[in-house]
Amino acid sequence: MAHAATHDEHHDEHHEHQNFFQRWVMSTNHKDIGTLYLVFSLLMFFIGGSFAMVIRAELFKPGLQLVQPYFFNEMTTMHALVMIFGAVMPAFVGLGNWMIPMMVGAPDMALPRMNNLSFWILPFAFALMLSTLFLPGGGPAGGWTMYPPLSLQSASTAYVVFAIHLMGISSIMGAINIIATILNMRAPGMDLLKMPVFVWSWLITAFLLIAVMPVLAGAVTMLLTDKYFSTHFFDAAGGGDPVLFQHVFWFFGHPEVYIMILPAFGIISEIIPTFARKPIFGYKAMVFAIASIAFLSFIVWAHHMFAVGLPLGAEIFFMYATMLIAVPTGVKVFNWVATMWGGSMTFETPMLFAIAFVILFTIGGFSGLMLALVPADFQYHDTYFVVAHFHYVLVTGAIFAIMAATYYWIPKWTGNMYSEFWGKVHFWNSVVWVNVLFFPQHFLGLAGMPRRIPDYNVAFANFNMISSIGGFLFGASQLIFLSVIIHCVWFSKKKATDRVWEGARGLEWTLSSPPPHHSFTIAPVIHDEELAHGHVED
Amino acid sequence: MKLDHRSLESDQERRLRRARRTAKVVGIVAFVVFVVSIAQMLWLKHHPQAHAQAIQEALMQ
Repeated sequence: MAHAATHDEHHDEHHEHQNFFQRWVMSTNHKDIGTLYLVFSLLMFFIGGSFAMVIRAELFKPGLQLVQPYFFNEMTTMHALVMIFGAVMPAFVGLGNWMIPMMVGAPDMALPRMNNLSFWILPFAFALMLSTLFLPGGGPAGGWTMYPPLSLQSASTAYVVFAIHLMGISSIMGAINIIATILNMRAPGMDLLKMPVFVWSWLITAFLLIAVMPVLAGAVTMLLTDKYFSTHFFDAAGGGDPVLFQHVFWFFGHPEVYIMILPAFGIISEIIPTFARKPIFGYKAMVFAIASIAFLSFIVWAHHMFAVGLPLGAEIFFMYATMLIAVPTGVKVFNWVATMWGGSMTFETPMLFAIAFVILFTIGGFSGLMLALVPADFQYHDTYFVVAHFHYVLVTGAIFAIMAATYYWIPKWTGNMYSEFWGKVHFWNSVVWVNVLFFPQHFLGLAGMPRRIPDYNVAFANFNMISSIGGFLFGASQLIFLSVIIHCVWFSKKKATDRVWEGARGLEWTLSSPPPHHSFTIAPVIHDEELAHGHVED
Repeated sequence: MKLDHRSLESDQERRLRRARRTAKVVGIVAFVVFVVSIAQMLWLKHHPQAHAQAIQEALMQ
């Protein structure tokens, strides 16, 4: 170990000689690139959030008061694109970059220069996409699903398609790096079934990305050629079929939903055992449940298209396949509860977010089951019920998990403890206002309010006003999150210990807080009792 | 006798070589998926009867 320490110090000296440009722009270090991803994601979270504020402000009362309908449609489209591709996905890639090498005992990602490239593509992709808002013809306004022919009427199709290609290339390179790292760079003794669940969740997610991001690239390429090169893939007038686009898009789109939630499952599976001071209940079942959900995600895409006129047999197949996903998801929820059962629990901020995740994500899961029912979906389709459902899954699911992960790992990253008081203030504000924001949208949807409209019937006024108030306060609560992070990184006087949390297990906690710039340059010796799930019974 | 360079590799070098090979294979798979996603639409364009029949069957139910 003495040799390893000398080695790390040598590398840290080298890192201190780098100037700002070399360190952040030319970085090949997984921790720095992880930080870049997380900072980028936070920026996009606030940009996407500001679009949401415009939407909720316009919907505060019936009638048009603040923005024109086209701009409103631009906001709904951009909010989704920015939040999905700019906030949630890069946040998970950032967390993976930071934690996966440390969790498996690798010195870095397998392909560090490609890692740098996959990050630095993103700012250009989003600059390109966001710039369309300032173009004479305006930005995309046909929804993030980009259904033709509506999406082809936009003047910015080429910009958006190119931006999506760039994001896709970035995601694919990130996924390649994660797969290559996990399969090849594990320290000796770190068997696949000894890996933390977060690493497993990312390995499976990376395969999903490889399988579906090229399909999205193919779909938008065909949109581009339909608009500019006289092809008719999706143009009915030329013998094409717009419904085919929906099939191709949702073959990407549904696994994409799981790309945004499987790493969240991994995070929650790290946090709950730590604060329950018990190993995760049913480790193998958790891993197989993630793999099952990933498999099923490929055979359920048409549940987004029940209303387009599918053959009855197809509707029944996709309905049952969708409902089947509840089984492995239920396994996960029950295992999280069983992990807490009888545990010596404490309720620090990461654990509060994790518990909120389990409860609120399950609500999103239940409304998903309702939407899976073909006859019921004919009523719910394209209403605010769908908006409520996927925001429960993505905000109280994916984003709460990202926040939980930030509170859980930021003491390790920075060497400083965050303010537990303000963390809890952030949590309670978030959990109250997010429900005020999204729960009434279930009622609006059931009453028939369509999504993606800037004006609505006065009958929907009360619930919309409540929802908007919740939205503004949820948005404002995130400024507390920003303040807690800034305070922790630059101003916190309270130093973190190496293990940080009493119940934390795993290789990453054996490193100092903050960890050396280059960790595990010599492969660590694995002691099963140090691993989070080292003792896996056969 | 030829020198077996791989026998001189450290564990870390061997892991990196394998990682690069894995990355190439996965990258090729991603490219093939991209090509196939467009190729199947091209196939449908050139077999309009198959597409028309599928639509007709859907509408009859």
